[in-house]
Amino acid sequence: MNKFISLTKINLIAALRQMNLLRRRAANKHGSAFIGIVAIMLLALMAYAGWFAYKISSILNPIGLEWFVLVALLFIITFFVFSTSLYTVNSVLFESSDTEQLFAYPIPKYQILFSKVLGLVVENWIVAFVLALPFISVYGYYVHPPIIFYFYALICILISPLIPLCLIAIISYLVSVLTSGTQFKNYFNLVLTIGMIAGITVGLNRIAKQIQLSNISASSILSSIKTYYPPLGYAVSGLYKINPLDMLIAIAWNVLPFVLLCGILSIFYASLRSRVVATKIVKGGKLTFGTSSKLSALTKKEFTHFFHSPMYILNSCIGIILITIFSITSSGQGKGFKALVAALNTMGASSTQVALITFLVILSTANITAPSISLEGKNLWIIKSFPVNPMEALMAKLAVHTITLTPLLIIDSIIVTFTMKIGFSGFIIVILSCVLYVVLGGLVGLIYNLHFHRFDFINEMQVVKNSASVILTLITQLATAAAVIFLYWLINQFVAFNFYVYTVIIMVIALGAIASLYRYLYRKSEKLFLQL
Amino acid sequence: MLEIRNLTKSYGKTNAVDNLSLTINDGDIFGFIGHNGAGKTTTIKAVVGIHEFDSGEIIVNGISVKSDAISCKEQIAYIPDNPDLYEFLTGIKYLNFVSDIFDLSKADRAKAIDKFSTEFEMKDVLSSPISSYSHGMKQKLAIISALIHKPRLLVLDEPFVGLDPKAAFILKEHFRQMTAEGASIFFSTHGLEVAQKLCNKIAIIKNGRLLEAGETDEIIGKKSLEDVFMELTENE
Repeated sequence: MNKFISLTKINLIAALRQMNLLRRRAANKHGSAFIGIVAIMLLALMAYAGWFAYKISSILNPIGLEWFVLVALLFIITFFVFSTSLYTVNSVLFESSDTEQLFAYPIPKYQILFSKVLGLVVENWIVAFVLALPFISVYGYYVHPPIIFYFYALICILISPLIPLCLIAIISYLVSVLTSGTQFKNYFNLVLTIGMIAGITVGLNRIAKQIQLSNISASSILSSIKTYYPPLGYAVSGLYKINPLDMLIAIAWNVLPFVLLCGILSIFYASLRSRVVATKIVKGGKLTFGTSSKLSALTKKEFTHFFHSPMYILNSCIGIILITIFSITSSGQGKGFKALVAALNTMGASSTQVALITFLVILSTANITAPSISLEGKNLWIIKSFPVNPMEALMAKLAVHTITLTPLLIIDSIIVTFTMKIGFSGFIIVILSCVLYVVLGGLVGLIYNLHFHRFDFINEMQVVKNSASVILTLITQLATAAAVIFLYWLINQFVAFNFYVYTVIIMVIALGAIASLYRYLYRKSEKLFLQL
Repeated sequence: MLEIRNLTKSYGKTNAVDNLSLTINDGDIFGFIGHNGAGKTTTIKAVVGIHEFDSGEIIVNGISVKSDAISCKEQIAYIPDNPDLYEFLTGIKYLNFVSDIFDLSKADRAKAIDKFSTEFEMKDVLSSPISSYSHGMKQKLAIISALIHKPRLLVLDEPFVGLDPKAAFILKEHFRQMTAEGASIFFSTHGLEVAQKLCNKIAIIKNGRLLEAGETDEIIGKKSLEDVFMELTENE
């Protein structure tokens, strides 16, 4: 048991180290500031979740559907775990570099597996609690449930991440096995995973429509949820009705498949892992020689790294993927989309403003540079010992960020120009603002990663998803977008300010910020790079 | 070719390298010997520009590493103790990348890659991803990448670890050939027999401080290098 506890501790430390919390605290350098930022971020997330829950409850309470907040909570946790565990599970269970060493130790393989699984579950519990506290508080405020409700709620929070983790484990393992040994393994991996997720999303959409078609009553909605997704349906029913039997069924639905999957995995863990990580050596093949400049060679290297890792692509480009989905959806002119635009128009927002705000906010979640220096990992010696100016190495990373995001942005802007009828001036405003925002975000990501980096990760997932620089860049980008929007709203409370003039001023400020950050990198990059 | 003057590098309160001075001339094969944690790798990493150092000076062919690191690095090839290479690249792509960085023409790189990959029996696998290579193959690829741009100074950290006997023999031959043409080799090793046979100069370091440096024959006299090493490090 001691071995198992030690293993679990190691897995949690490995995950947390990427956030720099432990190191910064130990070195007492920027420690309090960083922990403070994380605390503010969590509090902001809780405040937003609380506001969201309150808004829903204020609508649902008069019609007696306040328990729907519980559905929303468990659905959000499920969806969050499902979407954020994409590739996490595969990386942690099968691709971590420490696994082979652990296999050589006198530890049963099932203990190694369970410790890794427990690490994943605990990580998701933290998020689940952050989301659940405000929702449960709001529900408690409206309904005044008995004490036992809170005990049931605790159980639901603990069990709700288990099924999405199981599903992701199965999907990512199947995709890895299907694509192993193929020449374009990583691209297949990416496409197949997105395909599976899209399939699940379409399925969920159909279920939602089915529920809408049925008679709107508490019992009919609940029975529909129970039918289509019993782990969530019985949990809500147990909570809402304070029904011990439903709660027991919910526990069974959530825990048993998880235990079963862990049991099966533990038996075949070593062989499953070897199938996933196997890389075939190919003899022969034509050797090609081509010359490039240093910057071009570095950029090609960065591109190869980027496109080699589906996890890196998915996590750093989720924003641009969502913008593309938004643009394509807007071309469909669905009722929901039309209603959304109409609602925003009645609030005084023009179509150009809607498009720009949507693009900027979603684009805040796209950043390729933020983990790029940490991802050099043990290969950092190569760039550091080569006759390469650090600025060239950094600009190659920025080039990948800009070149990857900009073409899709242009295409998306052209689509919304027609679908949202924003006109040529609107198109110019959207595209210029977004491209400047992309470059600015790329520079911010680089600077954060120069200051907050770790090279001792055991899988790339830890860097791409959890690292301090990624989190800080995300917060900074979201805060910047929010500040720009809020400032315009604030000014218009006092005086009707022309939107185009405002946007041009913001773009000039953005250009100034880009120049300043570039200058900072130019002056400091050599010293900072040497300190890596 | 390489002059290290009063090099000092500390990690916190611990001096990893303490006032170290060494001179490596053109044509030298210089062995750097010491126990684990003696400061060998720290010194090597300072020489190749990976680590900054607290005080002292490192001069490569008359150029200070501190004032013009890029010019120094253009003359150096470095092979670390653990050949961590870009696993997402194929062997040939990595060699092309190195050739681009060191500005090798298409003809020169084709000729050099063909020569060295044939010698180290790597030509057949260069199209494969580095992630599929064994430790020894990665080590060989790192060596090929270091040799193709004809460095004036070759710096290696434990170069023979993981190499098969044939590859180790070929590498030693290249050491001799390169130094005959005026280049210099500076490498750390725990293989005292290798150092005794191969190096014309050696330095012994302990706890970051230099115990002995000079011509190999003068230092060991009629003893073996192992005896000298044990005497020096035990008496310290």
